[in-house]
Amino acid sequence: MSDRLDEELMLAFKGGDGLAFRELFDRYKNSIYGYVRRRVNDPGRAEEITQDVFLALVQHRNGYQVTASFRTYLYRIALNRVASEHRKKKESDPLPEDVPAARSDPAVVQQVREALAQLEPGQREIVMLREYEGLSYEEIAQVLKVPVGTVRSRLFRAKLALRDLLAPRGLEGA
Amino acid sequence: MVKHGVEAEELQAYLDGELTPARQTEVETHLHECRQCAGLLDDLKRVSATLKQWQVEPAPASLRPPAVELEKTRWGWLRLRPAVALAATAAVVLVVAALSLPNLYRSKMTSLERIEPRQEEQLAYKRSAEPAPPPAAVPEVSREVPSPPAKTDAPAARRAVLPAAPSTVGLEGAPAETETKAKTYALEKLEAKDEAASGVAGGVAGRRLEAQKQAAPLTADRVASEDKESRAKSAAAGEQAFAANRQRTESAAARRLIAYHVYLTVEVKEFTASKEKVERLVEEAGGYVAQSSSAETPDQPQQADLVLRVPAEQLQAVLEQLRGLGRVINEQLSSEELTEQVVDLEARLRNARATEQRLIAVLNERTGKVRDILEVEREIDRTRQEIERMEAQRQNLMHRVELATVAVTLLEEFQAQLDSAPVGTATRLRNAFVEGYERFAGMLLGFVFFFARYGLVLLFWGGFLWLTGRLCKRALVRRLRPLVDF
Repeated sequence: MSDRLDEELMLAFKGGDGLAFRELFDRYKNSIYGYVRRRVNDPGRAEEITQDVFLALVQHRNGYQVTASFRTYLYRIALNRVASEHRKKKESDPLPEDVPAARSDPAVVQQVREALAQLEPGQREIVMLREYEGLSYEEIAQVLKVPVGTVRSRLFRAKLALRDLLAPRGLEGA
Repeated sequence: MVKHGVEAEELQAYLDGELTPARQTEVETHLHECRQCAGLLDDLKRVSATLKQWQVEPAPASLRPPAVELEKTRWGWLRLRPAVALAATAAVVLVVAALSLPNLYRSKMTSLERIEPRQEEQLAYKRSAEPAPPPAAVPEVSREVPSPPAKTDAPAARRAVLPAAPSTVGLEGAPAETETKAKTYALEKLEAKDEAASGVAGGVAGRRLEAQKQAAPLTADRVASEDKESRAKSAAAGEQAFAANRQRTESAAARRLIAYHVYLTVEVKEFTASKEKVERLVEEAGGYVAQSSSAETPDQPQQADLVLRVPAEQLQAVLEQLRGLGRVINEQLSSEELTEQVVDLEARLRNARATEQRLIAVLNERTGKVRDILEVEREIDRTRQEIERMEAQRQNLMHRVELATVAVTLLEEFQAQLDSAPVGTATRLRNAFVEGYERFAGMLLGFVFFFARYGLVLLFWGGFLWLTGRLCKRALVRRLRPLVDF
């Protein structure tokens, strides 16, 4: 894997470099799959949506401009695809019932899922983007189209809420 | 917490490395001094650590990068260019319309054609049922005797079909004389039957005499072969009838026989009195009321329709008096010339009587077979019936001439009146409900008929447009979504 920036690779792909796209795919396939998997119940469907996200990247490569980071661009597409999936399935609960857990205690994961599910959607999305995807405040603000200050305050409140939700179950600091 | 110099939110930002380096240092310094903030920071760290326990499996090996080139070459053009998809849809719509419209038109035409040939057939049938037009070569008699009805021309038509005229045969004395005579005899028997049936015995008898005069040898031959004496007497009677016929025709033609019809609408003030006056007036004039009907509906003027039969000579006087009843709204006068019909009928009547006399003479003088006698008697019966029928016809015609027909319509001058007994509220409410129910039922029926008539078409086009719209929308959304976002 080269040390080129994501944006450089994307511009190269836009110029017709197929290998650049392949590198981008390898860099982000797990992240995007993880993002989708935490929000979609069916693993097969999560894989399809992930594929769809990269397909959209291919189809609209000519419209890509370096006005934002590539990550936010990619997560924005993923966010839209997942939202579309939820609309299609008419799902009110955005988190999967069959919680996927790898190398984790399923009971703890279930408690975490339940705690996250109790958050407001705006707070939950910010926490998940921050904790699981590792996006910066600026990137989260771009993905969700909210001010950075809002991201910061919501994230703090969400963390406090999670502390209160997880503490009675003895999970905090587990 | 503000008094600490560090906002609580900044602790999370500090944890995430989102503060500026200078602020990061300040917060770090504060945390060394403030146990409360340090405790909160630990809480936040623990929450993060707990959240991090939810790890999902990596992407499956089956997740492959999309086939870029394949996508581009196969269906990519459709997704990338909604305009192309729209154009293709429009083309499909046009093709479907082009295919379906002629079918619809044809089905409509077929339904019309299905009716029209039937009408044509009916017309053709009517034409065939109508009697054949009279032949061009009419005997001279037709000029002297009023033209008979179409039915009476059938024998003449038959005669025209024959190969040779009797007179010609008689003059030439050809070898085929016997055969021709037989034909002529058969023809005359047919004529006799037709004449009896159509009531033109007299007219044809006259024609026969004329023909006898022109073809004397043939007549003599036939008379000799049957009964010379009776035939001569019959011929004499026929000649007398023919002469009388001419005389009567001339005398009847001298006076004109006209039947009058008058249509009169009069608006009157006193309806009942006017109606009684009309009836009295007709009676005084020597006529009668043939028909009378009247109608009376609330809030409407009364109306009476009377058909009067008035002696023709009194017609003008009666009309004057009828006009004087009120305001004349409509008056029409029509007349029908019946002279020709009466003259013709009288002529035929006289000839029929002459035929009857001749047949009676034949019956009295003839000594032949019983079958022949019975045949003559039957002929006399038929002639008598015909005479009676013609007499009735003549009487009817003369009645129409003698009594003019006046159709009077009396209209009451309408005067609106106050409704002294208004309809009750309950009745009005009930009527309103009934009316509302009828309208509702009508509307429902209208819907049902509408869907029965256009439902399938609407369903087809609605489904087609919905599918097209959905496809276009999907293609458009896929194309535009990332562009909208950024």
